[in-house]
Amino acid sequence: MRQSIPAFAARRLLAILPVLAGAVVFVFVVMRLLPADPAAFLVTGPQGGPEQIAALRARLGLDRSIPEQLARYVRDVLSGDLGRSLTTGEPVLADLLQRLPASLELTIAAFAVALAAGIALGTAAAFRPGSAVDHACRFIATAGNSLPGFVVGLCLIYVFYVRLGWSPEPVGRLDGLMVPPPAVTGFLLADSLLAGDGAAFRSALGHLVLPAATMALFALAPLARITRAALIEVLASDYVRTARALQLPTRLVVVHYALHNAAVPIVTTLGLIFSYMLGANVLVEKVFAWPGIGSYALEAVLSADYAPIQGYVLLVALSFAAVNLLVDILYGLLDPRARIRP
Amino acid sequence: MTLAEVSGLGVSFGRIRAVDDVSFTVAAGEMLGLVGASGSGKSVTALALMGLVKPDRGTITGQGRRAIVFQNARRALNPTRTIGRQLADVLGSPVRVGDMLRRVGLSPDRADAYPFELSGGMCQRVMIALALATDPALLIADEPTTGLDTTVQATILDLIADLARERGMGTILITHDLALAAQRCDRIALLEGGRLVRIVLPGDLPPRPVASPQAAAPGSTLLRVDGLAKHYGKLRAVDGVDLVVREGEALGLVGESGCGKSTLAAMLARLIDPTAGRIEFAGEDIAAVPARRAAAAAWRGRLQMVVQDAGDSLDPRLTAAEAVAAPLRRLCRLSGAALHARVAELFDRVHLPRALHDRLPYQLSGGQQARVGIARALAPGPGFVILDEPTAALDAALQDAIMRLLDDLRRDLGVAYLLISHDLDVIRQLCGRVMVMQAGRIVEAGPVAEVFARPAHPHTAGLIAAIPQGRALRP
Repeated sequence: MRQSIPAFAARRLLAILPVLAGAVVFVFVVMRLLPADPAAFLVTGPQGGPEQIAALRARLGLDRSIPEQLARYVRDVLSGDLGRSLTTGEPVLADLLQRLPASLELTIAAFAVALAAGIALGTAAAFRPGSAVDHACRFIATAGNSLPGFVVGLCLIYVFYVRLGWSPEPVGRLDGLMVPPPAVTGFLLADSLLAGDGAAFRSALGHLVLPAATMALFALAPLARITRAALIEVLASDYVRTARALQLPTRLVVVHYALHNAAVPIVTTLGLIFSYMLGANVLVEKVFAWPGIGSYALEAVLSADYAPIQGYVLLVALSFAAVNLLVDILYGLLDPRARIRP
Repeated sequence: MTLAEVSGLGVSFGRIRAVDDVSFTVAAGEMLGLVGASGSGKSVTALALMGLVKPDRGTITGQGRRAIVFQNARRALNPTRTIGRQLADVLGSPVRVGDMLRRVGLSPDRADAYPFELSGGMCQRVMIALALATDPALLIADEPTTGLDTTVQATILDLIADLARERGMGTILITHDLALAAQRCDRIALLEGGRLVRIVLPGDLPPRPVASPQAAAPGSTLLRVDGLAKHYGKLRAVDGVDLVVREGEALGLVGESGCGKSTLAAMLARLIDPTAGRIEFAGEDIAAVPARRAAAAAWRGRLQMVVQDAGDSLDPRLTAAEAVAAPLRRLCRLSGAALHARVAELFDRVHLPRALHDRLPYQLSGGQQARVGIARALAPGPGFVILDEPTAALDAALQDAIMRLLDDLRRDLGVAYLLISHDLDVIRQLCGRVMVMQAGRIVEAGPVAEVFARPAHPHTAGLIAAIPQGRALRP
């Protein structure tokens, strides 16, 4: 039976819950297995001795058994408390929510650029295999696949900031001395527009270009390649031949017979690419000193600060699940065969 | 009125001349057969008529629109668009969609169905509706019934003939089956290697040779099946089957797709577990061993299976010789020179040149792949081989050759067969006895000649009526 879209989406939504629960437990246990002790990091003064460390461990609850710590953590998470960061002293949830818009702005900008450019490039290449566009597509795909994100980022900084001086100093989201616009959405581009602050908008955009381009190049490579391969296969299919034999209008054939069917593998790839981007985010944010959740998590790892890492992983798992849900629903919309229940 | 006049047509792909100097005409109301083996250039001629490939020589002229119905209709329909919308795409509006569906014998409320929700025969009806929607004067049907059951084949061809008569349409029927063309067409153009051999009238063809029913030598019982059943929830795929296969005998099992014959074969080969029943092979109850452990059973080498699509069932990374050697290594523990010698012997048995040893499956023709599949099944020296539609993917000339090979192997090696087919004609060529299956049950059984002459069950009579007369004629 073919399911309706809402029923299909509801089933996919239910399937997410065990994934989230698994992510919480897994990262909690792994963190406890690491040979690092947050109490030892904190007690560093000359008067710090084993007694102080033990006292701090007791205060943080680290002296209890791992199952007991896990039970307390799960209880806290369910009541919306992700714990407190030992380095910033703030609740983890507040820290993450404050930094999330920066990461989202960067990721969404990069994703949008990669999506538009990758699909356009792949489509152009598929319609003219062997042409200059096709070779350009292959070159970019190879470069994007083989160069690590931070290397691309450093190259871009060298060319556009050090050599050409076109881009602003690659630190943060705004010029150092600029007053940020009042936070409404947390997205600087949107907030500066809402405040009517043209200078802040230009500055925010200028700071966004290089890190977004770095991430986009990384995501664009697989997208362009998949688009090209899927379209070439679809264009050679029997049903496109049928459409041509029936002399259907070219636009109809390209959009509803070719692109629609090619979109199925492309959409599946999108979910994968988004998860790559979440990983790439951490390094790109570090390179550009971007105040997002990636750099926050990296600092937390370096100081064995359990709560922020767990919070970060939970947030990433949540966004990953949300994106995959979206991909599944899109897939179900595009291909009715995905909605069959045996 | 001449709808199409083809003269001196030539089409090349690179250095290959697919069509070379082909000329014919089609008139209104006429059905012309275009008959030849695969690679004879018949489909390329059709594509040239539709303007989908560019001829490099000759001319195609004629009046009126042309439309084409492709083989494998399910693949020829857009999988992600409902059939109603696909029809509306051609008609320009959804108004007449229901009407068109009714004209090809489909209910208008199927308009919301996607191709994967329809049977192969229904997809072909949709394809015919799409072609009709362009209001053609000439309809080209390119192997319109390949892959369909015999009974469905007949109804599809009837539909095309009726519509052509009704509308005064000219038709070109492209097929590899000369008997089918002889039964349906007014004139037949025979193609070979891209060239037109000659144009004949159906009456010019020689009459059908008398089939030679073979005497079944009564051997001792090899396989005995009692009350075998397989249920999937409420669906009774196989519903209490009893059968006996004697040593060296060829037993036929015929039925339409979905009647449970492949499920029965998979149970006999111990690939899936039955819900109930007993399978006694050489005096041992092999149904007692669960399917997942059957691969390690001592009798595995003595009970083998040849599956439907030889090309799909060969590992694309194994050469022909490696494919045949694999069961010898595992089941017979052969290695080194002994293994090499046995593989070479099997290649000779199935008439495969030894030069093909190192070919990968994609480098082999369909007939050669089928022979590798047979050699692989025979490798461990089985006493019983299940043949599940062994020739369904091959064209007529190759089918004959493979059937003759299987018959020779049975006589030489004394191996028993269970031959499964939806085509009674294939069964008749090889088997002494036949069983007819319908909806999971055996509805009729007996010697082939008797069942053919006096079918006792109406379903059997229907299957026999669906065979085109003179099918034994082969180009």
